[in-house]
Amino acid sequence: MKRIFLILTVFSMVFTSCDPLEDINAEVDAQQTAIVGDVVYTLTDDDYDSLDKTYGNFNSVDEAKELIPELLFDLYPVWGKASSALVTFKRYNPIDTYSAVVYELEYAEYEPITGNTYGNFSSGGDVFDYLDATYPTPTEGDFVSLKYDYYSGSASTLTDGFAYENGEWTKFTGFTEDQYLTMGEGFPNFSSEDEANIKIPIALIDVYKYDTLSAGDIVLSMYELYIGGGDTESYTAAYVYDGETFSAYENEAEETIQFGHDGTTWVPDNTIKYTLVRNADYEYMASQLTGAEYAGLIGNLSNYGDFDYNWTDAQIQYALAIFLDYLNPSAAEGQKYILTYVIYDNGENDYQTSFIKTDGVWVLNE
Amino acid sequence: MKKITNFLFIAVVCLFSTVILAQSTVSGTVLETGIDMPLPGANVVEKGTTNGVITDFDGNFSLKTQSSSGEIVISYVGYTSKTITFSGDSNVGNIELESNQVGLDEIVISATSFAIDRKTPVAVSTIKSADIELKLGTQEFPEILKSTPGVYATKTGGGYGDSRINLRGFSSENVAVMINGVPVNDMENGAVYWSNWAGLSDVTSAMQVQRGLGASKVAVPSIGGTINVISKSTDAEKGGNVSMSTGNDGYQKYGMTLSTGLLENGLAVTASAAKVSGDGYVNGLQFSGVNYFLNISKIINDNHKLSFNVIGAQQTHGQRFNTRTIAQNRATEQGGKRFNPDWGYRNGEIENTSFNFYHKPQISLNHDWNISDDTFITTAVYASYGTGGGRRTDGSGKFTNNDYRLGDIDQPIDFDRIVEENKANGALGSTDVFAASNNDHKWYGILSTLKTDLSDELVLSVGLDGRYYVGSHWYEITDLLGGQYYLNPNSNDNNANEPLQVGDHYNRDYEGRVLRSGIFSQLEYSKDELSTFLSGSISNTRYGRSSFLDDSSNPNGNVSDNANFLGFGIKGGANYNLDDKNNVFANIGYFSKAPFLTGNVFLDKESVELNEDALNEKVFSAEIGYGYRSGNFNANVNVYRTSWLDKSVTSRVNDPDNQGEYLEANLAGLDALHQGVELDFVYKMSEKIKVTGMVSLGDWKWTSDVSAEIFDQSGNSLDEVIVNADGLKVSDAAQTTYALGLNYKALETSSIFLDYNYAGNLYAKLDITRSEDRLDTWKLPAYHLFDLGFRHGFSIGDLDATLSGKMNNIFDVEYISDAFDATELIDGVAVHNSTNAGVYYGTGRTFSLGLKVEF
Repeated sequence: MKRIFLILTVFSMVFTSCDPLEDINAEVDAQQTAIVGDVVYTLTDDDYDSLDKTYGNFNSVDEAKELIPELLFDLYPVWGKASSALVTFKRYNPIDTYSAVVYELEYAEYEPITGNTYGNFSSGGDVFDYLDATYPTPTEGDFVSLKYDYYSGSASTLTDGFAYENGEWTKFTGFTEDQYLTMGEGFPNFSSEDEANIKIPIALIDVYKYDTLSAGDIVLSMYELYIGGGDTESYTAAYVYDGETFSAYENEAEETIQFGHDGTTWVPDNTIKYTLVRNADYEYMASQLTGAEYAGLIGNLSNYGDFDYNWTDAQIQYALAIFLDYLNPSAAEGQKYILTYVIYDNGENDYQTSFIKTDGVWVLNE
Repeated sequence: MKKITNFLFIAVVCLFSTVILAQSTVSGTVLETGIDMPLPGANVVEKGTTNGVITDFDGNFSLKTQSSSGEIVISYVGYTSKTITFSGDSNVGNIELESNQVGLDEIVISATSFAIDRKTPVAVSTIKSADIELKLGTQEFPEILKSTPGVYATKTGGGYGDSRINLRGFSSENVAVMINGVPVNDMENGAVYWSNWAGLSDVTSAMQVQRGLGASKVAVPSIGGTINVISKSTDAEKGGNVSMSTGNDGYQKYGMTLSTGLLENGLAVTASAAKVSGDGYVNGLQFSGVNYFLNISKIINDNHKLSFNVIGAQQTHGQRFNTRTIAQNRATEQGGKRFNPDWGYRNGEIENTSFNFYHKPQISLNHDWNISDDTFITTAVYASYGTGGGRRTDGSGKFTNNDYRLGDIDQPIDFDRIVEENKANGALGSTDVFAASNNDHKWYGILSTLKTDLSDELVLSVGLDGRYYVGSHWYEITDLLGGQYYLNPNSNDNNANEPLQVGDHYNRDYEGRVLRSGIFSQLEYSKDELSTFLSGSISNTRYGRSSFLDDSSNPNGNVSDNANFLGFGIKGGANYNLDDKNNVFANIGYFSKAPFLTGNVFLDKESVELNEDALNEKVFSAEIGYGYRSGNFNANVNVYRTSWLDKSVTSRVNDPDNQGEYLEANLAGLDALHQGVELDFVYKMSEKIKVTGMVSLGDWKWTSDVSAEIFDQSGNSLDEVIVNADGLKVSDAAQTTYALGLNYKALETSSIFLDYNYAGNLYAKLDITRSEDRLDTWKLPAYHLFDLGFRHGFSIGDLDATLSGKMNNIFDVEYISDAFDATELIDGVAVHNSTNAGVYYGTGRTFSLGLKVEF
């Protein structure tokens, strides 16, 4: 009996310490598996403060690229390689504004331009011809506001601004007298800037009702304030469209940049992650792989929507590159993709491969 | 490793050491119960010592004992041992031993090809019902055999009935499994699905593993060995039992057995049924099954006996199909032992993407006919109607998309979300659905053996083995998961791009037909201590197939021509009993067998085009063995060498010159050599303590390479097939296994046991025809496991009751039982290691407790 217990004890001592997977588990544990996160994020006012950007915007995209990784690290301290963040931020983007006392053309000034005596312009180019004649040597940043008569079926009086930018006159369309009337103004001007900023966004909806604007588009406008002594002064202003309404442009442009985690830090990165749709995406590859080499392989693509163990890595990469050309034919040089796909090898498991478009073709992005 | 080997030897040696004292003389006569025939060669041993003698030809013995009083143990292989007390010089008179040869008369042995100890020259392990009852617990049926040499048994994914057994390195298609002599291996692919036979353990009278060529007299032998299972029959005593057991993870089993015993009119009926259910050790592997067995036997007269058997198990169970790497498993909350990626919740209930439902009852009618004193015929006519399938998923990939989980990647699948999305899809149909891969069969067979004694020494057996099998295989939609229909995406299907409803077939719909007919004959010569046999068989296997759903791939019609394969086998062996204790045996054989229908008989799975160059596989095997029998120590050792020749390798590519045609290469000559040494022993250290042990050292390797190029008509190489296999280890079964068991009989009806098992030299599974780099696959870490159990017999009033408990893997060892090879690129070199291999973890600690009351 004693002997049995002795044997039992020896057995237990010899074998309980035996953990078959000890070494492999230790190896696995030593390789820290990163937590992979994907986020769409818009910077808050606090975020700018934390980056010492007290104006609530970045001076440039480059500055944003430099500072945002710091912020992402604070926000997502445990995220690692292959994480992504689509970050929307504000960039300081001032638009030059102009102002000038309105100059009203006299009757005699039309004839040298148009060659007739109707006392108005009647084609779109007339007013620019007038500018060229009147200001033969403009300098960059010059601005004039002209009040002139224009005939197009019937005569009307227009007030438009013209700025000399980049070597040519750019037109700022002012409001017509009728439009001021619609905005409740007895005279074709506003009494204050505040009033202008309240009424103009409403008026712009009507002005641009036939244009296809998209959210974020900036439009330039011009309005008049009465400055006394019978004079009015024109002011240009920028307004931003949010998809439904206009509001005064705050000299900040919204930008969105994608960042990726490279294992060490966040870097600007354009990687698009895509999981292949079964069986459709696999069927597309099957339809394109016509070479003899693939004859015995493609059956499983369309039948099961996966690769299988008969495929070599090189064959899978070749097929996926063909698929990327189909998925995004117009992808820009340097565009990266992480594709997730299924391989059947005694069971199904997900695999990921990263590609980058280089010299017009998709190559492995190690 | 050496340490363990040394330890095993030391342990065994220790157990032999004894102390010598003194003396009395005890005499008596040993007889067989009932017939009072003397038993020559029975062992008579003074209890607690190795002091013993053997009975003479008339069953008499005289033993000089070392103590003046005590007990003597009388034992004989095939009989229940008896213990007799003595005091001083005495004659204890007649001692009757009861046969425990599980009631196997000569006909049963002959019909089932059971091997007889010290007579049939094969390596064999026999496990009787008491041991099955004691050791099974919640284990799978094949796992009972894990302590026998040459066996590697695992639960694979862990689902109920998903276990597998490899014998001498050969997987189940090369291991014949026979129930009452009737073969149950799938006729098309040779595989054995243990879930079909889940109730077998309840009604098994004995099972015998014959390794290598074996003693089977069926016309088509197997390479690895034969597992013979014999159910209870007319030997059943009147009465019955009810049993219930419970265990880990919701395991519940209720069962009953009732036997009329042999009635006066010669009729005997045994019926048995059990209900099993549980949640499964692995997550999402809930199961539920009913097992049943019915035997109606009628002894018509002295010469005729009829026996009608029905055995079946209807079951459903969740499965773990998809494997993960060790790192992926380790990252889960559950850990690899319990993590299963293939299940989730639907309406608050467990739902599986991998799910199995089958019912394949087998019905047989056996007729035993004693034609004369010298001649009898035993005939089994059998039929099996199987139905069932395994769940498949189809669609856009939501089931494998980790976004559709209730949390992170280790969490259950959110089936409700998929249902919601299918519903929202309305008239656009379901994006993702459940389907089933159904496999039904109809199977009819006859197996008949005539045995006649030509003389006292010479016995001739001749027989026939005929089988006809039709297997139907199709996919059907089983659940649209909330959607209105599913658009058939399979462009090859006749109903491609049509809306499918539940029950509609798609993707695959064909039937395979197998007609096999064979004859065999065997001549046995026994004289004195020598028994020899020589047997030969010849068989024809005819394959045919019809394809119902893929006209585009079968331009020449949907019904194949028949393909015939002629196979033959010849084997012989001899056993010589050197004396009452020692015997030696040898056997040798060669056979050529038809490839499996699912092998390379047809060009592909659904095609009805025959592969003109399909080849038979050939096997050559030789074995020698030695056996030692004494009253308290039995041991066997054998050496085997099996050559598996011409495993076929095929490859094909589209013929660029002929649209729709293929160019192919059939390569013969991929060979393997399985050789090894097997040792097993039973040592009855005392009446109370029994030690069992086993050492199995295999050396299983591939021994050749094959390669070929496929050219088009212009001589351009289209594809190159290279298999660099020479010298590589055979994968997927442990080549080294040890077992050591200790059984302590605390009381007459109570015992406890401790079993130790070791598995090593196990290589990750790889289809050898994929090997190009001539590198062994990943070698899995070897593992040691301990099981502990007890059985306590007691009485409830007049009824005998047994309480039994079992704990498997008592130290909750974490180990890998099954792995699928994959390489890792390290500095541009593909290395076979653990990194990317998909694995199944073995089961951790499990337990069960059962009560059986007999009446």
